[in-house]
Amino acid sequence: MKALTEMQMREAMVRLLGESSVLSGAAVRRAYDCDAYTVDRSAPSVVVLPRSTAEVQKVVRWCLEQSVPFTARGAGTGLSGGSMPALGGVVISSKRLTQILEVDEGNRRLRAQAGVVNSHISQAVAHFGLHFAPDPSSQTVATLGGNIAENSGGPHTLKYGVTAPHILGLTLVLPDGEIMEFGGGAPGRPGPDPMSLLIGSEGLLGVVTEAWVKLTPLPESVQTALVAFPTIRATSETVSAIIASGVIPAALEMMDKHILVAVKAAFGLEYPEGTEAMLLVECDGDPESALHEIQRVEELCRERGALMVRVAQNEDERKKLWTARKKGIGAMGRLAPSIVTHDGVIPPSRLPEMLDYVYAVANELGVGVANLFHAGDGNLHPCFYFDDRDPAQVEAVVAAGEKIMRRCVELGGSLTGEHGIGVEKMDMMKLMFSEADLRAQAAIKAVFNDGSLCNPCKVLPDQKGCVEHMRRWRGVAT
Amino acid sequence: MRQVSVRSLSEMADLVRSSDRLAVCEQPSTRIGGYGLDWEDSAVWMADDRPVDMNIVPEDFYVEVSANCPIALLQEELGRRGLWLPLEPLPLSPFEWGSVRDGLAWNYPLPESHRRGSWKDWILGIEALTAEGEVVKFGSKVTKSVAGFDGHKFLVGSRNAFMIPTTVTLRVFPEQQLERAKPLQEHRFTTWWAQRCLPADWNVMLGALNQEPVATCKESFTIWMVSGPPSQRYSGDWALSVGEQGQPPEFTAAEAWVLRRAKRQFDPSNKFNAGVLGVI
Repeated sequence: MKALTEMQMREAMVRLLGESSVLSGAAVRRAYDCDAYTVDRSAPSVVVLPRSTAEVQKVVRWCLEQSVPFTARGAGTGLSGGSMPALGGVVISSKRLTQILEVDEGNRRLRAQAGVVNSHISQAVAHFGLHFAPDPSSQTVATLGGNIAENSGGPHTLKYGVTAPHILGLTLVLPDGEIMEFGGGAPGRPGPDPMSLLIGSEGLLGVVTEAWVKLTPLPESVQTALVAFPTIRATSETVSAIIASGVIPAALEMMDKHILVAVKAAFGLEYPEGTEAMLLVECDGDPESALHEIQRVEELCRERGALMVRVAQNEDERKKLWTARKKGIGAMGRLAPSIVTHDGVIPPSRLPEMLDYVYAVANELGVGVANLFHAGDGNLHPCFYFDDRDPAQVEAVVAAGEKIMRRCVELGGSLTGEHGIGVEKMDMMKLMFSEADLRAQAAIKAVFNDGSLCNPCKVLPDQKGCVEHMRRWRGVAT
Repeated sequence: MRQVSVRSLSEMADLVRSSDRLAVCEQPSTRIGGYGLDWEDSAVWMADDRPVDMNIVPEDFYVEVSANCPIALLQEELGRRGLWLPLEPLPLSPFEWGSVRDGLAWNYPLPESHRRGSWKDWILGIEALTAEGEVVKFGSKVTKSVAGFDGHKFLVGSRNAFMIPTTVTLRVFPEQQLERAKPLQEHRFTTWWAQRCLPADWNVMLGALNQEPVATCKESFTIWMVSGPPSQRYSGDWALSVGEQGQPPEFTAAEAWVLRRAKRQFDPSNKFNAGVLGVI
């Protein structure tokens, strides 16, 4: 079949969805050639903005007929290149799938289109005393569809879990253009659950257009503490001690001094002189248990030499502490033009040695690194700051990331806790999985997607037709 | 039916490769241990007699354990370290008579699951034998991982229809953190039913019961009854029967479509527990 030109694709999409739902041109190609992972880039031919499941289906069916690749995209906050259109083609943006379709307070659930922003869900049901628990740091812009695709985590994952347990049902346009609905009723069905495969599938198994989400009661009481430590090791050992004590905080976050410098400049966060790292700890539940838990945490911190323990006295103070944490990555823009945030997981007890290793690698390769991460579940986020216009720096950052991921796997951890594999870690999958494991992964993909058009060249390494393209993506940030 | 004892992973793999029909269950001659299936005479029942391996890592709250480990033994060993898997002693359930593999395969609705989760929440990783006799791994040993598809979670409740779990990594919990619930009940039955509805239907469901429930959980909106089927069904609910009246789990059309496709991918010759899920 003869390849279609960009103009032909645009005309076809305009016929399907109308002029106002199609974007194209040089500026659009540039804007949609990557997500928040900027090392690899590949531009789409056109971007479409469907408003319904039926419109998504029309686009997918057309792509299938014309053998044009298609890639779903939410807010573009992904950090592994999952929504980069690896082979070009059509980007299906959820920017206009923004309807909250049904609030079912009685059943503590809500049905929304995939483009609804994460935090808007909680805002919509706050007056019922409910919220949507998954809270990735990008939650003020990240979309529900993106959260489902990546099985997003966030600071409160430690107690409330990642996105998967909060999704009760979803509507999906399969790669063959069929519409399927899964779940939606009472949770916990005893048989195998296809949603286990779909959530976190990084857009490879179809395009999620709607979902039923679980609404969780807001905690009666929340206690939040900011704790300063004189050494990284004391901080990480305190994390291990808190987890080992049996206390499960709602959140247990760690920020090192490089982050603190940026956060102080951006948000005026104060901390004692000599601070090398800080913990942000939150305990919630009924007032008595939340208070008891935060007191226990305070004891453990002081036993390990904390320089300061500051418990937020009211909601305003608490919000300020969280702003510093959640906007920490953004504040790092003050340190360098580009940031790559890595994402690896280790068993929490290995945190002290792993952090030593991260700093040693950064030092060895001459790149700047700051750490801001979900310490409680061992989910590291070393943030490398660099200038992506310098190929040598890009190379060093990629190399540092690979070393760190290799060590995570060696320590019994995972390549990714919440950012996904995308294109970033496709080749690293072999560190964690054998050839046989990867064949089994490919078989799962084939259950839903036995073609090669739906978000191609992601997650699974060595896919036919992708290796050559990978060389094209890498290092084209300039 | 011929019984073959396997004492190592390689013997297990050889048996898988050389068999056309395998019974992967606790005891095919019993209604519950054999999933209520009428096994073909030509099928081979694989008795997994491998030595049990168990690696408990208390500081990181996980255990890596052979899938044939009796649940009772696992709980005992965890208990020595102040840990446990929050399973309740349901009558007829594998929690007393079965292995970790049985627990995963059945995925019974648990009392207190709203607070403590269930198998799908606890499973971190799995190693399993494919129909080709190859060991494959899904997941990891950490509570948070999104590397690859979550095949390990999909296998929960699959009644060993796609693969045979050989080693399982489970999240475990400090005993003191969770107050143990009372046993669901102390008597023995030959069958029981569970039904779970959406919260808004809970009071209606309780009011419409034509029998005294064995147990109820108003947080997970679940009832357990000694006879069935349930007198009334509700939009979005599900029911499960266990024991003498045991049936395969219920599936929607979309779920059945996925299961059939998964069976074609993982066990195209229908080697493992043929018919156990009803729809494939």
